[in-house]
Amino acid sequence: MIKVHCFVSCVCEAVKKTEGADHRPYYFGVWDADFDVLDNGVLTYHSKRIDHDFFHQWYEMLYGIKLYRWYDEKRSKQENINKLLSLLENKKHQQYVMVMLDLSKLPERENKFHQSPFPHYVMLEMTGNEEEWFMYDPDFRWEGSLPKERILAAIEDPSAEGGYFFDAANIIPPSAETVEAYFNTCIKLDCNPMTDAVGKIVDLYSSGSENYPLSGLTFALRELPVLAIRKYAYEHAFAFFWDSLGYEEEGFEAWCNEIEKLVKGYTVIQYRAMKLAMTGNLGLKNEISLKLDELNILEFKIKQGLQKSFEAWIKLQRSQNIKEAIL
Amino acid sequence: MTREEILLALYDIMQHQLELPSMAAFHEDARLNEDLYMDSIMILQLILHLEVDLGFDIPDEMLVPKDFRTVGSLADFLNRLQKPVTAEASYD
Repeated sequence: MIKVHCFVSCVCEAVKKTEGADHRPYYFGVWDADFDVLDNGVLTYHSKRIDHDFFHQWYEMLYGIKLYRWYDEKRSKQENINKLLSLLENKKHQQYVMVMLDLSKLPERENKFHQSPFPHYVMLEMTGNEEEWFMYDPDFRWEGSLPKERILAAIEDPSAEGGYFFDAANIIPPSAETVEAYFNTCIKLDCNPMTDAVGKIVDLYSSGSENYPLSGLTFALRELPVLAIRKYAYEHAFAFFWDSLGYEEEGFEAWCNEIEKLVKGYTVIQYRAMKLAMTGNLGLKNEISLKLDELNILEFKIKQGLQKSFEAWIKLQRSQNIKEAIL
Repeated sequence: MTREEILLALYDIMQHQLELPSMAAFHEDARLNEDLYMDSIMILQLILHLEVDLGFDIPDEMLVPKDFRTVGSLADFLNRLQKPVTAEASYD
């Protein structure tokens, strides 16, 4: 699976291990998942204003699994670590303990974004060796044993605050009605929030304001790659509908190419913004606007294509229901 | 620029502009991501210096670079990129 969203990838791990339960609908919420633009005009995937409540609630509604938030921001780090230790000691086979840590504190791990700090959700288990813990990082498709002290040091970082616990013993496949409601909640056919935000940030930093110097634009958009890859979530949705509808593989591949074009388009935006910051050549602003317009059109096209396959899927579900009622 | 000069220029940008802490691993076969620990933004910074400081004209599609896996493959790409210019120059 492609790295898309660490919280989503962690809770999906249990779904993927359950026969008959499909994790792909859960990704509907990822393509326009929350991000923040801080007061200093910096785009970020993680801030105090962002929580995972939306994904938390829908995980429970889709798969019938209760997610418990064990981390309490009001308590001290040590108290939270004590809670973590007790959860790990008492953990049963189908239970999962998620914790947020600063991935940059574990440099032997692949960290293609080289962000520091890099708040990131992983799952933990104890091992036969008291000094080592087993760490699952489904988002980066990595798992292995690491020294317990090193993991604890990464959890202790002030940038990382969060943790969930869940029991996947009674997971249920999502009903068509819940999938329909979730899709309708997630699809934003009239706006592309991230593209809009990038446009506003570029305007802000090229407005000549002392508070937002042009040279700061590179930093302001440095997390764009982390957010851009969320657009791969469209692939999961197309794949889900395509499989259900029995459509030709070729059509799916064509949408994947469009999604790839969209994700790569943000690299071009980021590059031009960095060039604008480095050279001060305001002519580049126009090039950025043109590319943003192009990406907006492309993403609306992807959303419309998805909406169309969703509607065909709804029709199929309804006709199957009628058939079942008659027979 | 010869391929050798391109390699020296790459070393210079990585050492002095990007200040990569992993320069001990610099070698033709060094992978930009896995060996030199360059993330996607650092690679964009490198390309930016190649364009702005050295005058290479890198097309948009190369910003997500399959050819940029190693220092050597990047040098080969840049070498190929300047070929038409060389041909034009010799024509003049």
